[in-house]
Amino acid sequence: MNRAVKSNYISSLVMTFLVAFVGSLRAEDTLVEKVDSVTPGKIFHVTSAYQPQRPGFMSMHVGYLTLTSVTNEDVYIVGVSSPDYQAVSIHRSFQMDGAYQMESVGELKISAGERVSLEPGGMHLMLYEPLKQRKEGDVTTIVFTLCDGQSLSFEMPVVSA
Amino acid sequence: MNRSMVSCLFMMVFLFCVTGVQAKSEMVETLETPVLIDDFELIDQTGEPFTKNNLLGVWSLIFLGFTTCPDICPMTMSQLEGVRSELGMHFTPEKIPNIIFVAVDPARDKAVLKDYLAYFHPKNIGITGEISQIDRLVKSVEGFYRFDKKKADQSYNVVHTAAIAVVNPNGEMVAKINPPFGRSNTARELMLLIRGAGR
Repeated sequence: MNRAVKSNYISSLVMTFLVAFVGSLRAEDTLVEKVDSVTPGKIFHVTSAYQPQRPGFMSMHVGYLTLTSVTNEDVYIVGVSSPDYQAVSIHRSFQMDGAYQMESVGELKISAGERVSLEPGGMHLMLYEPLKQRKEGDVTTIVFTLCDGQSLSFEMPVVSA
Repeated sequence: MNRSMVSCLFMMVFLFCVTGVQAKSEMVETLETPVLIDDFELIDQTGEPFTKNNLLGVWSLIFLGFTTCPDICPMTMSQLEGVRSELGMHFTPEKIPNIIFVAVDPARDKAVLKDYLAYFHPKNIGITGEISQIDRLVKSVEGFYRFDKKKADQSYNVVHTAAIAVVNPNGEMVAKINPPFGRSNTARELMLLIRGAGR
């Protein structure tokens, strides 16, 4: 590659990355990274798990997290529970015909090597009826049940909304 | 123009188009004809009357929701606070829009509206009241809501409009913010809208 061609090539690359960088600045990530933690086990990692504090009168709370598969097999979460709540399920908020709606997600698939995010406005943990008042600094224990019967637990901090 | 320059230009146009499409999806939709908000009589979280007169002389962002909404409503309130925060860097306080949360489920909302609003910015306004009056405002902002069927434990979800109405100081809806929306992009477009209206 002679010097002129090389120079053009480099300037082309620089411009391309510059445009890509500017473009990425325009697209905003609405997920707020809160706290990192890692599950025990070698099936998936849980990161950025957090639970926004909610007013005391609310009997339904939410939890957000990211699950990253570290196996070469698909994993299915078929149940969720918590010793801190009467019940937990996975829900999904979505827009249809210009309206916000919500539905229950029966089981959650984490494909081999893939990442699944539970984040505001999308999938989330729905936590029903806290057994005691939840406030900033508390930690909620979540237990996932996998399709093979294994249980995996992790802790999710309650953070200021 | 040599080959590398052409490929560079092509990549730039391609990337600009891709990012441009992403930005466009977050646009504030300006209405061709402003919609005059009808009269209504509701109360705010402090129990004070809140009517159409409270919309006059100030910009407002009106969002429909309900206080037991665990995910979408708190997220939207936080996003709108972010938008308002950005606008605060460009405008004097009187031009910064009020954020108005219309609680459409008074049976559950009325008693706890003050507690709910306390979890957000103190300037946020929450309003609710008789269903007939809520419906007048909802109709004015071209919104809608629906109560889902009650479950065995008597809980129920409320399906509600996602768009946020932008109301000008004349009490007219002039735009809608369609989620998902980013803080900076929305603030920038609102800034242009508010500045444009001031000319």
